[in-house]
Amino acid sequence: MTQETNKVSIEKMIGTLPYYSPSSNFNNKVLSAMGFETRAISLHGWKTWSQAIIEASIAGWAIAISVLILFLIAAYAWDILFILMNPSILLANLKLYALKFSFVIANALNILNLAKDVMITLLSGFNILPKLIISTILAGLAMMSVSKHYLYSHVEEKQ
Amino acid sequence: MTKNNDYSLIQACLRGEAFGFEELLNRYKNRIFSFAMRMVKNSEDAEDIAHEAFIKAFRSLNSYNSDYPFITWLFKITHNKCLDFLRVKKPNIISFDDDNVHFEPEDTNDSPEKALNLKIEYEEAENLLMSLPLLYRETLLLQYREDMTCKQISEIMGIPEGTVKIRLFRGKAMIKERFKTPENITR
Repeated sequence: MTQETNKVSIEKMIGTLPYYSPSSNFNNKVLSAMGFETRAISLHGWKTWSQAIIEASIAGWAIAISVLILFLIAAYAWDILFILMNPSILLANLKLYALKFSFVIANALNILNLAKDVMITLLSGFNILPKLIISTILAGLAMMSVSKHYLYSHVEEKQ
Repeated sequence: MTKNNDYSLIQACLRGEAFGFEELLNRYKNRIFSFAMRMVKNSEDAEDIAHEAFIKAFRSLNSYNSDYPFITWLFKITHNKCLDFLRVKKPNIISFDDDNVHFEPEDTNDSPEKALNLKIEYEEAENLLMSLPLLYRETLLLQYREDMTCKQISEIMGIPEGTVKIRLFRGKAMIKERFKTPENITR
């Protein structure tokens, strides 16, 4: 990092030179040599932040996918139970069920794409970290709304 | 205030409390490491030197005289460790005799105390300082970066105060001269 200075004196030039830091393990090495037990090195600043955000994003995606799966199972619980009790019907209607499943996935992908486009438009000036967080939240909401749509549509059909 | 705080931390160290050692480390490790790095021009070696300096200081706390600032004592230990390292690793670079460094300012009427009326970047400032012979570099660092008095510098380096003032004058004149002619700068 450099910075320009105008009309600087030699004293000020030397006086404002930066201090450098030794490695993050420096304290532990000295304390260990003095006979003290040392503790694990904690990641500093931005490393802790980025690690936490990545973990949160992965957890968010895992939760969103799990919720989607649970909703789909709940939406088609009776169908799934019926097929498990009569597996021969699955083979006979395999194409129908595959087609239904593909529609579900296609709609989910459409909503995700829409969420992605909205995110790109709104957050074009942001760096990667807020994008990651907000995209995770939007993806989770999108998956839940898809699941909710098919859950209620199934309820309406039964009525 | 700092002296009183250092004293209480040293007392904690003498009682065997890890908190005292760790607090002194956090307080001074960057200064000691940066000083060592500008002495030996290598970060790995500087960290080893800083590590040895702190261990020696902590193990010798019983002999520390609280009438003098702890940081002065710590810098003296670091200074000695740096010289020991350079004697072994780079004996050709070391010259402990001012007479071996011949330098005459180009314009004796132009005092080095006057401001450099030109723009300068920190990186260039670092290069200028690092291009100086060890004796002048260390003296300038202790006075202007570490805010030591001539008396403290003389205690750290083990030289008379008069010699400290001569080295400060020559060091500044050398910087000014090299700033005018960048081709003289070699890190």
